[in-house]
Amino acid sequence: MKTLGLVVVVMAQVAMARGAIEVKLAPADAAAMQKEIAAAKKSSPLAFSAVQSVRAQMATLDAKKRGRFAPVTPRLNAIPDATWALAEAIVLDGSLDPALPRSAQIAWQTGLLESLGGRRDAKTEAVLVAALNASVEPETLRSAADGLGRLGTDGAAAALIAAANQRTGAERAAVFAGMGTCRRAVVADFLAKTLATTVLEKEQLALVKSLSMIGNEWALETPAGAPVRAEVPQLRAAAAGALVKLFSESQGNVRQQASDAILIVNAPETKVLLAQVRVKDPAAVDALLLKTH
Amino acid sequence: MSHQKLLVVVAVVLTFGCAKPAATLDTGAAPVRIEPGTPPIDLRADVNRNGVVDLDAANEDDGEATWDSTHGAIFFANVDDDSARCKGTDAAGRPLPDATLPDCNDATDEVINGDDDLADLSTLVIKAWPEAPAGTVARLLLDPTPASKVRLFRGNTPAATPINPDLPLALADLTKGVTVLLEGKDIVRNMGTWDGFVDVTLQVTVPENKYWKPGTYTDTVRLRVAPVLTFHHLQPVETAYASAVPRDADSVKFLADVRTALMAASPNMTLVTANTQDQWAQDFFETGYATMPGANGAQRVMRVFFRSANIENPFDRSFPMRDAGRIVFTRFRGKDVAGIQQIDLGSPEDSQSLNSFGNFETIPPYTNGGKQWPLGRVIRGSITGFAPDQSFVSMTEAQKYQEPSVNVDTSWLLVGHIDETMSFLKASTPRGWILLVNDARLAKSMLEAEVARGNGATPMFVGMNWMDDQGNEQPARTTISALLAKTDIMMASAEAAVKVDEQLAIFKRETGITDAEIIKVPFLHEDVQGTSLAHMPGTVNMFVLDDKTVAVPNPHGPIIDGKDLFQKQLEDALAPYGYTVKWVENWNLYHRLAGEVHCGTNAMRAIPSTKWWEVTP
Repeated sequence: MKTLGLVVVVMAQVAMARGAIEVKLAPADAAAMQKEIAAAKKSSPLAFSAVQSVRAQMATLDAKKRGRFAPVTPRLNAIPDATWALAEAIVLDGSLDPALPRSAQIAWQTGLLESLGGRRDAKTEAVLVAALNASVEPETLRSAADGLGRLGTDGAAAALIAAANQRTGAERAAVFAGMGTCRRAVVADFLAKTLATTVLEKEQLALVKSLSMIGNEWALETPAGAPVRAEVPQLRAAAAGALVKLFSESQGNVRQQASDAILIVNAPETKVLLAQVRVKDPAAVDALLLKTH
Repeated sequence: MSHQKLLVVVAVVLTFGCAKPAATLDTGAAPVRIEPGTPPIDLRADVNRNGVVDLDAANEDDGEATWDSTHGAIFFANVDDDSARCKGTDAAGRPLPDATLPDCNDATDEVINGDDDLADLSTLVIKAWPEAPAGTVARLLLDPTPASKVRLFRGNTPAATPINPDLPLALADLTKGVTVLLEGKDIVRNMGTWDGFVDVTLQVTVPENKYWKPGTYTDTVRLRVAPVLTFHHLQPVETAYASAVPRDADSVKFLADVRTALMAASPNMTLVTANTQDQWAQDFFETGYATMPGANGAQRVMRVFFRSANIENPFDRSFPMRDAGRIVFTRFRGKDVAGIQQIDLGSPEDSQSLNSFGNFETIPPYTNGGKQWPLGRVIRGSITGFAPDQSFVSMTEAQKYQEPSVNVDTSWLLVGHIDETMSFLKASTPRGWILLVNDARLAKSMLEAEVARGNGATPMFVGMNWMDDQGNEQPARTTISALLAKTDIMMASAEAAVKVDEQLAIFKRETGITDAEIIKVPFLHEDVQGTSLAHMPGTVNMFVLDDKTVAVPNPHGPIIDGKDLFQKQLEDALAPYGYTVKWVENWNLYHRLAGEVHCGTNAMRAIPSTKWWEVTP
């Protein structure tokens, strides 16, 4: 029997040829994943066929899409016990027929990454970290960051911060945009500090989006919303502080998005923070205060 | 009557009234001197907008060289196909490429295609001047830009012949008078190149003669092409459209529900289906109309279909556009029905979704801050960096009467269409209509209230699945508590609540609508690729049939006290306005693919009684 590592390399080459992401796992991680997949195929064989069924429908789903991409994530989310079926699809067989449009490829890959991350199984961290490191297309990279972030583990947080520091340009913005699902204090602090020094609008908007996710009031109310419940006050304070600062220092679309994000986070300290910057633009701050609950 | 002609008449009156001859008339008695008269040059059109050209009515002549909401002649862009000669294929039967498909219509030939086509042309009359002296030369002149937008015919029957503006008219056309027909060759596409007005000038050069002052005289009439306007929901449906997806049982069910709703509204409403895999009937075409004055106060009408400016196959030189949109020309274009296409094939790929007509709605008529919108106003999702095809936007802006559009941010939505969050219903209120808008906050609070009542275990989405019907269905069934516990759904819903608030703030500022005129429509969202999508059926995405019936996606909500919680909420909210909700099953066909009932339907509606030409844009 071939080692999974070899299979991964071989399949990765095929995947690259088709434009899919090239996921590289360390041998130990590959072996662990192989074990999990083998077990899952015995316990939940239907999950594997269901994932493949969605894959087989990608041409149809893409042709029938309304808008930018077919909504694949909800379909995959609905498949129970599919964690390792999704992981297998990402690592071993993530590609589609290369003749399919880019929109189909992106919808499939992002669906796999988001659905796997959404299961919040820490054992998939290595797969998602590898996918994050292998992703290049902005949409896929954002979804890899998003999926990994949902795990909320220390490893996920570290990998996301490392990726954000290593990437540049559109790739960096894509990591920023996705990593806000990782509701950890270290990530919130990183996003907040980065926002304070970023001048590129595209990166500012990505960071604002991420801060709105990391401090999202409704998400944090759910049981799985905060992996470490004790960090929640710090998360929200960091997000609110960075967003209010940007709101007070920006104009146009950036200010609008910051305003929305402040309301989505709806941190307890928002009103105090706004009062502190009111002198810069009383009318704008007052208008925003009226919207806070 | 033009100022120039007024001087002519005054001169003639003075001439004969004061008997101050300039020529001699030999009557056998003492010679009488007659002053030469100013030639009675008179070109007329339907300036008073009564549907006919009156040769004697003063208000047909007064101010004819100007155009405003009180007077001025109008013409159609004659881009329908009255004789059904346009087939959409070439001589060998092959489909015409997208670029040339629109090029066949009644204005693309130089003949009048029968009596129906004749009726689409506007009449001008050169009033007879029987005494025109020999050697008089008359011409009809057009300014250079409008000249390419219109064609003139001599005569008033289908046998009328094109007029070459480079050549003079026959003298008899002046002495006996003649009818001239004006045919618009296109709608206004861009105000920067043509504003829709055409000045037609009758120029007459009179030689030296005994009775008329020699010289060159002109009489100018200004006409405006009828704009293409789009329907708002206050106008009842006349013809409904939906895709019939071949070999799709869900499509059959959906069409049956839509038919039932139509029948409930009115037996006169018809449903036209298009056999296509493209199930998004709302998106690949938009209906509209052009009108102009008819006889007895009636409106002459040309129905219009816009093809969506969607690029579907960017690398296909012949057929780059969304294929289903070809139906505008291959099936809909016909007698008194025009097809219009406008696209920039270089428009950005990532904003293509905004070119679908689910992202093009028309706010019903309103007045706000002294500004009136009696024909309604376009609303679309559009922000800097995420905007529809600008050539198409320029075209709709050039119609003027429903623009500039209200633009809101839909970039946070996966699909990005305005119909995902807003709709409009007729209401017996001072404004005459109400706004329906998505409210995730209300959905959350309704569900939380049921948890508080001990109903957290009540199932939702019962019997529904997230997969297709090919053997791998996955139950969508969940419970109220389980749904509220889903982190990613609550995250997306919190964002949706704020983003819709932002849309609403813009809407309130632009329309002046108050909270009392707004119905909140509750449903939660989910996160897909960092964007938002209705997780529960998006019930605001409804098909408004008339002033009493709406077809709404079945929400498959929790059954509380024997009734679907969300059905009851909407029925109760709309009942005071006299609306009956007809629930349509669209989970499989539309909801699972990021759409709902409105996305799958379209409508040609009744023509509003408001006449655009009486409005100051």
